[in-house]
Parts: sequence; C-alpha cells; structure tokens
Amino acid sequence: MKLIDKIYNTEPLSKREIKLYLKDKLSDSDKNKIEQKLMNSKFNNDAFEGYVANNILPKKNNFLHNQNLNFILSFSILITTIVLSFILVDKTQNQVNPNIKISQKNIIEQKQETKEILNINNKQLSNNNKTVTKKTKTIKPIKNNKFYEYLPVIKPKTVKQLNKVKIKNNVNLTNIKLRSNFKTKYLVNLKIVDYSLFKRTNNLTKNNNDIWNVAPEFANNYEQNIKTKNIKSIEYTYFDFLKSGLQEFNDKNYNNAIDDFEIILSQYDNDLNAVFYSGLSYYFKNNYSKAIKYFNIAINADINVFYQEALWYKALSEENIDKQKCKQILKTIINENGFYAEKAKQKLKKINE
Amino acid sequence: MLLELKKSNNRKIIAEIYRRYSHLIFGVCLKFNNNKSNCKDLVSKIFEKFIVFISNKEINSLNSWFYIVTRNECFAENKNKIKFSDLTEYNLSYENKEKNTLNNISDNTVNEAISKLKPEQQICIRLFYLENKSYNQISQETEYDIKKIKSYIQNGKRNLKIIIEKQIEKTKSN
Repeated sequence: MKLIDKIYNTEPLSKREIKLYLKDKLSDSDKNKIEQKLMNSKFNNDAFEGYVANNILPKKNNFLHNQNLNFILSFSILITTIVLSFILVDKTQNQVNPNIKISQKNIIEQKQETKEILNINNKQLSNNNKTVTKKTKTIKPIKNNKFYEYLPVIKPKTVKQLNKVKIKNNVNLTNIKLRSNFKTKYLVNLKIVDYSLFKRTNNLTKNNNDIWNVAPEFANNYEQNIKTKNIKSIEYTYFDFLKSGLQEFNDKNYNNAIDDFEIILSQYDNDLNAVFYSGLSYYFKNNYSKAIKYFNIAINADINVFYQEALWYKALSEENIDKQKCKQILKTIINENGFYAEKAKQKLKKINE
Repeated sequence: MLLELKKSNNRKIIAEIYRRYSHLIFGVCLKFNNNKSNCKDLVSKIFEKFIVFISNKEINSLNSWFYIVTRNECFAENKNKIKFSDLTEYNLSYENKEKNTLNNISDNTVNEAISKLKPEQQICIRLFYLENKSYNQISQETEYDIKKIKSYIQNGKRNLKIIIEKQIEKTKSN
C-alpha cells in the first residue's frame, strides 16, 4: 500500500475491530491499524465515540448483517411455517373426533388393478377389509388421509321407548334394525346417512385434467397425466363429492359413480353412503358378487340406515348367483316385516314357481 | 461494489453494505442521540434512504454519504435542523475531496512533505503511519499526552495535504 493511501485511507471499521479495541485485547500493531482508521475517518471516529460514550459493544444481533441474509431469512420462514402447520394439523385432529386415526395409505394409483376383499365378517369395518379398485383416472385423494374408526352409534331414546310400546294392531316394533338409528337426509333424491354431525375436514381433490378429455397436445391419457400432474386440482368437500357421485349414479354412469365412491372410501373407510351406493352401482352393472360384498358391509354396519335396502338388493343379487341363499334372505326380510316384506313375498313366490 | 449495485440492484450487495456500515451508523447515532431504540430506527431509515438514493443518483464514497446523512438525520431527530451540507453535495465532503486530490503520489514526495512539517507533527506522523505504533507507544516514546498526539497527527495530516498540493502545483507549473 502506498504511503499516501495509508495516511488518507478511509476504510470502515468492522464490528469485530471495535469490539476488540474496546476490550483491549489487541497487540500494539493491531491497535495502530484501528487507530489509523479512526484518525483517517470522521465516520469511524464518531461511531467509535458513540460506542465509548454509551459504554456498549456492537452486538451481532443488532442488525441483519450476515452475507447469507436471504438464506437465513427464508430458512427461518420455512421452519416457522412447518411448525405452524404441524400445530394446526394437531389442533384440527383434536377438534374433529377422538376416534380419528391417521392413515398414510390410501393413495390410488393410475393403473387399473383390482384387489379382492378378503374377510368381510367383522361388524366393525376395519381398514384392511376395504376394496381398493385402482383406476385409470387421475382422481386421487389429498395426501393427509384420515379414516374414522367406526362411528359411534347414536341410539335415540325414542327407539328404546318404542321397544316397550305395543301398538293396537299388534305390530311389534321390537326390531331396532328396521328403525333408522342415525340421522338421514336426501341428496339428489337418494337417501343418505347424514354425517354432518361429524366434521370431515379433509377435503377430497380431483385433478382438473380428469374433468376434461385428453388435451390435443398429448398423445394419450398417460402422457397428459404425467405432464399435467401438478397443474391444477380442485378440492371438494365430502358433501360435494358425494353429491357428484350420486348424480353420476342417478344418470346411470355407474363407472364414474364407483370412481367417486372409491375416493370417498379411500379417506372415509366406513362411509356407508359410499359403501351402499357402490354396491348398488355394481348391482346395476350386473357385477353381483362385488355388489354382495358391499351390501354385506352395509348390512353388518352398526348404522342401520341402509339395512333393509342392502338386504333386499343382496337377495336380488343372490338370485343370480345362489337361489337358496336368495330364498333365505327373502325369508328373513318377510320375517322382519319391513318395507320390502311384501316385495319379498312376491319374489319368493316367483322363485318357488 | 457500487457499480455492481447500480447495474444489478443485487440484494446481496445491499446486505454486504449493511453489514459493513450499519454498526458505524448506529455508533454515530449513539453519539448524537443516546436512545438506543431511536438509533435502530434511524439506521433502518438511513438504509431506506440509501436504497432510494442509489437507484436515482450516484454515490462516489459510501463512507462520506453515510456519515453526512447520518449526522443530518441525527440533528433532524434532535429538532436541531442545522445541516452540515446538502445531500447532493456530499461528494465535496472532506474525505472524498482529500482522496480525489491526492491520487497517484509517490512515497518519496510524501516523505519530502512530511519532513517539511513541524517537528512534533513530523514525529507523530512518522511513528503513527510509518512505524505503525499505537497512541500508547507514541506517548511512552515521546512523553506527549495522547490527546496532543491525536491533534498533532490531525493537524499534521492537514498540513501535509497542503504541502503536497503545493508541490503538485509547482511541478505542473514547471
């Protein structure tokens, strides 16, 4: 360095230099370097005097001083968002229902494959027992899946009272199975179990490209699916999704209806609406064995909203497979003296003829 | 760095400037305004000004610019609106002016100029700049008071500049 530059050098003092000088931890030559900076620059000198007068040292955290400022900021924002999202997820899980568990499965792939149901004996619908029909479509549930352990049965007090009451015309209403033990309502003119009492926070998603046909720039569905995988997705509430499925069912688009019901089942394992209307869809598709599996689930469920219907349609399905079983079911329907009792009698007559 | 900043408006460069100068600005603020939180506010205010200023105008010396702006802001804060100089004139400030006029001068001419100084100033400047001795060491050697040493060096520098400028004028006229 030239002598003239040394004398008139106005290099700024660093924090470290100020700290070390004030702490008196420097050798004489190092002190001289700092004193030269102080002597050459009024800025340095005044700043230094400011620290001396207030008897403080420049602090690291006083200001944003790091070279990797952006990185640190973005990293800290990322961590805080992750922590907040975890807290939010926890909160929402706690609010919904104590019976909620989280399942990390239930991702429907794009290739068509069918896994058979193994044991559908249990009264409670276990997660292992469900049917997963993998689809060609790109409809898929959102990542965080929750399924409900079997929903608690709400037995209204009025039902219990009715057990004891005998009506004049000797019709005994002792059989609870014939009385709905859960709130119901009608959607698209179809009876459904009203789950609105139970919060269902995890919405279902549908890829937009599923709604439209293959775009002209893609050779086939597969290519389109890959390229537009993350472009758009639409999020539906449970109710909307069920509505679209039932609408498809009403329009006799049974394949589409089954697709929608499967999405619901992938997230709400025990959803009776999806179970029953899937069974019906398979029934109308003449896939009786599958239909029976779904009807069995509906029959054995603790919520008996679809008990009679499921039993009736199971009988109709069995008619095409095993007539003896069909007769047995029809007899039980007649014995229970429910809504389908008359129809069952007629049907039984026909079969016996 | 300033040229790069002017061209690219890179945040990294601004961050680096902040790293180099924020504590000095804070120190100057502390000198004129004892309230720490006020000082922090002033630092951010000055940097906001800097970012606006750099996008419209040129800054030749960051040191001078920050010093003058900081002092102005401090005086404005204290409702003592005497300003040292207008912002646009910061380039004519002391450090910049000294540096601009004393470019490319050989060590011999500087040494010659030093020898023309008063003996006390001469001794102090030699010990301080040539032998890299601290104020304490100079004080021990010369038995001068540290305050006096500082003023000798300060005055010596001012005189040295005058002498060198005269020498330059002489060489130009010859």
